[in-house]
Amino acid sequence: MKAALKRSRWTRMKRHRGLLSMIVPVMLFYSLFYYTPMTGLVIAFKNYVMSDGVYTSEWVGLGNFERLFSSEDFPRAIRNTLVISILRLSCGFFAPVALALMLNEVRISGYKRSIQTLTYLPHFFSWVILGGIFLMIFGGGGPVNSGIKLLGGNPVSFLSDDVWFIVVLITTGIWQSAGWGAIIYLAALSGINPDLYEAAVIDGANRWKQTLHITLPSLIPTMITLFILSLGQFLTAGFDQVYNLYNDLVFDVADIIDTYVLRRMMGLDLSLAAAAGMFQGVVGLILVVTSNFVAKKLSGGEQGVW
Amino acid sequence: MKLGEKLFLICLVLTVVCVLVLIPPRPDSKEWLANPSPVDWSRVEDDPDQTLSLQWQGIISYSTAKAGSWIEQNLEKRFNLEIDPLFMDVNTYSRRRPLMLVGGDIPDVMWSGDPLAVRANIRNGFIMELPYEVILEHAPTYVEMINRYGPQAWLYSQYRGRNYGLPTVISTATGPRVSAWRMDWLRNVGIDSVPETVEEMHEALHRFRYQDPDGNGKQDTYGWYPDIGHWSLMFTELFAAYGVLPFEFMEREGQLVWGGLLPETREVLEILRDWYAEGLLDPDFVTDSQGRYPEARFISGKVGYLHPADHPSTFYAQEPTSLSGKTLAFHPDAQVVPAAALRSAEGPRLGRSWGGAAHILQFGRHLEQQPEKVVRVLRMLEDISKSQTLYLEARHGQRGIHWEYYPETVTLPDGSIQRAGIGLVPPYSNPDRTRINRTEMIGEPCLFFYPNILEEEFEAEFVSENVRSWYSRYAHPDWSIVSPLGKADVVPSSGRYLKDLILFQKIFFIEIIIGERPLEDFDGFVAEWRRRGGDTLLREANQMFDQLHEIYDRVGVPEATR
Amino acid sequence: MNQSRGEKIFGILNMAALGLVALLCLYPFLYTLTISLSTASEASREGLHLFPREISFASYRMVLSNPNILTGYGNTILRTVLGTTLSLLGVCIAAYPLSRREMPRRSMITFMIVFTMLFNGGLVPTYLLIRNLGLINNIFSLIFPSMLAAFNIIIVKNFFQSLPESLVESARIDGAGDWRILFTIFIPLSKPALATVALWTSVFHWNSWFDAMLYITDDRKQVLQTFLQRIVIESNTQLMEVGIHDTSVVDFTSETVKAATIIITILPIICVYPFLQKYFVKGIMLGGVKE
Repeated sequence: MKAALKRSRWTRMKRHRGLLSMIVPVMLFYSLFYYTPMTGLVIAFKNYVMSDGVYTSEWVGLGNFERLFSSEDFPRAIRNTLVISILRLSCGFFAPVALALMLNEVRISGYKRSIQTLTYLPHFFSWVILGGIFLMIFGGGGPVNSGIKLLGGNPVSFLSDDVWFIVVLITTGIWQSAGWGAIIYLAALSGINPDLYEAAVIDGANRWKQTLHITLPSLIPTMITLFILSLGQFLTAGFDQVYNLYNDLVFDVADIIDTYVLRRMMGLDLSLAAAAGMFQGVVGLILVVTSNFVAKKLSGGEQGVW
Repeated sequence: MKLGEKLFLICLVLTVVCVLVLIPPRPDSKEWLANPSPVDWSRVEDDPDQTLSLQWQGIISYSTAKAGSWIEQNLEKRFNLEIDPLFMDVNTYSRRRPLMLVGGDIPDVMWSGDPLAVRANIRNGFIMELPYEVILEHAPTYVEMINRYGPQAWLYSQYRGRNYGLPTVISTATGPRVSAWRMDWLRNVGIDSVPETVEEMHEALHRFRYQDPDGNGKQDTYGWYPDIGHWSLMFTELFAAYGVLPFEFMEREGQLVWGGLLPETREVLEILRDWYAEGLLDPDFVTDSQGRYPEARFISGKVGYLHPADHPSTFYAQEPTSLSGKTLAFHPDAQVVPAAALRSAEGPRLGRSWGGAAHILQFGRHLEQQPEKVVRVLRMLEDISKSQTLYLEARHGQRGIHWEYYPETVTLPDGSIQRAGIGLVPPYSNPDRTRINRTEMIGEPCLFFYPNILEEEFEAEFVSENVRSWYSRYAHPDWSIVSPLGKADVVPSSGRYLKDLILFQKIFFIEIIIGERPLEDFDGFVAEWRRRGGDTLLREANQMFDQLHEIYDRVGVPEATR
Repeated sequence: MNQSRGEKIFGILNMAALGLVALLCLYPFLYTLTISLSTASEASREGLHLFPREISFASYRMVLSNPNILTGYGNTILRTVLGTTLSLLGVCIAAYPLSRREMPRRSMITFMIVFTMLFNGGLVPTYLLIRNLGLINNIFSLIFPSMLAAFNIIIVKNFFQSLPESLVESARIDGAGDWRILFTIFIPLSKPALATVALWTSVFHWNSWFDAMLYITDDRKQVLQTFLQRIVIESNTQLMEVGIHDTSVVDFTSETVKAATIIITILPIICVYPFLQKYFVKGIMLGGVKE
């Protein structure tokens, strides 16, 4: 019986040798580059001393996590990450929807296309470049402050005032991603059955009502999917952007988990860095899995990323 | 996934969590530190005839530096070494070196700029213990130099009563940093001499703001664009005039206190707050947290005062890259003059100074297996500390071939300007390739292999009379205030608290100065500073202060320099 | 379509608002261009800098004389070309078996791949891995970790699944194996999806700096964006000065040099962007396809 099972497994493998010869290297690759580092996370539970090695360093259980949460700066980093992420999500999530709706109303296709082209543009540049540009634009002698002075106002410390810095962070974040984010909604909009609109016109609905009752509801599945996906990034709060814009003076509000991990790593406190990174990963995972579960339950199994 | 698989996974996760919770947390234990060093130093033999190889990571240098320089070859020949120099620029040092160490690439000899880095190296087991007795046995003169010029440096290399490195000193017989004024502006507003007191400075800054010093008919100038890029520059000259180092430990009545908490600090904050309210400070400085523009604002004629400038060459108008030269390019009539440290109404001139204690050389822990390398390095440093010839060769190369002494600033036929003192000779002086020449032929900077500057010992005769008198006029060593512990991050918990506290203090002070907070908040600041770990730092600092003499006794620091 | 008066007014306002949005997207780049072309005194003037009033190319000369920028450019191009090619190849090979229904344990393997989008080992263990593989200072340290990005595999897999099954069946009758089916039928038919993935990957490689900052320690192998990060964000003046030989020409400020560096870096993207834009757009629609 067992031998028969083995044989059938063997013949099956032989039959699929083409597919297997493709997937096995891929799986090896994944084991090496993604799953091996995960085992390295054990140093989060160790007092990692380089000269003792990853697997032989002394176990300290949850000691590193205790240290993390009893310190001043890690709870602060969590708080900052949450604040930035929540603001980003609440202010930034609807910007692409609004942009898509606005673009959808434009009837001159050439105009629409050029607007789209310009609004996607920022998406294609790294935050190194954009950060460099915004440091100039919002800096002391930059054009924004020049404009404020021209209008008779006092210069604003956009980059070194806690509150203004967050404002700059969120708005430049929206600036960079709204145009690109709108594409997917535009795609969803183009997929709406035109019959629905015709029926609505016959019922006497004006464009505003059409938007409210036909357009928006048809965008909701896309929005839910994107929302769940963005939750996965919830505890990253846009490292690239923050790292390239922040400075010492706004550390209190801008030091996020990722910058904390990097700082600990550069300070050679590897166990603490790994523990912080692990905390971030696990919470992110839990967020995505639960929200997907909730979305599925609410929609009766239709919506959800997987 | 099937139900069974799911259950299995959940059980697995739960088991792991339980196991981890059961392991007793011991966040502070550092096992290897408890073990005595495995090296029996009394048996270490260094055979001078045996060629030893050394990977040498010296002080931060330019990225153009190249291996195989004359200085390197000279040392290799004299001490029978094969040196593999590891040059790092600022960026490499701060970003890549930690990663390199994490990856296990630990050089034989390793330079660190601050005590914090040394402690990280110790905790991770990167470096070996180096008992005082070993240093004293093989490099007594070197020890003497440290003891004479910067005994605090001994604190930088020790941890829990044991020593892990070789401290270094930079002794240049100069005092606090110098400030720069636009003399033409001062005259335009009716002031004939450079301000010496805080009151005079206030008057000058005020006139710079309100009496149109550049005569363009517009009120577009300020007195001062303060540099808040680094704590050591932030309003330092003013704090020092009142005798405080706000970001360092200071001695008051036999106890160490934190300068930033002292009543004098509050006094200075009040002054600065008034000045800001009067509009004397260019408000843009608040946004310039990296300290990018102070010099640019001075050069472009937006402000008429700048701090600091620390070498007479800053004021060499004939050099296009000096502060004077750059200002002249914008304003041909400008006259940039130096100003010595400020004083308060009744007090003496005072200015902040780093002191002689400098950096730390360490030895990779793998040298526990080859301790003869450590001995060879100690002997080499000892020999250089004893001989002027060797010292000059290790720092500058060969006289007549690489460098020459110029009593006055000269312009060489190749168009290069050599400042008074030790300067380059052709072909190394070629102004188009100066840096490349230096780094390729001589090695840069001069502290790479021999980590100390001992100006009074070996270079006194090469300091020109003009420079000497300039220093005694504008940067006299007697005016310096130095923290008794040297760098504040020597205290063991500094990694945990200090950086944050300094930042907190920096922001708080700026907020007080620009009027975002009332001055009365200062008391709250003091309490908060102590609460956020400051108390721990102060306790540790005082413990170290008590141990200071014990350490000094062990290395024989003479009473006079303590 | 008949429009009411109110709808017409709304339409005009809407277009005006969108025009403003587009201008806001463009202005920062315009500003940077202006500053990069300005003389030192012009650049330090306050104002909006919509166009350069006194033009100077000193900053560009300065940037281009910096050897790091040129080697960085070369390395970035190499990385982008090599990374994109390998990535495409690998993604196709990974996506094909996952798209075949007869693939054993298909859902488990898909989960194994998708899981990496949700959780990873983080900075420290990944660094140790790269270092233990001996990839430090090797261009493959920048290529391998992202080569088989899960997201791209899923997209290509979905596209493969949308191809008619009859193609495979007739190929099998002709005796073609899986490898041949992939390379002679699937890949040629999937050009639009692959073009999109290729473009995403190349933009990713062009813009990446953080991995290079960690894994590349040799300046001769460093990529452009990492130098840019050091020059523009950290104002590493030592790095800027490397290019200065003639100190008498100082018609630039650190700002104009930064601006020029930025412009030089983004120029290639700006140049190819209008031609490739439609692929990007197509791509994100593919991404919207549910798994």
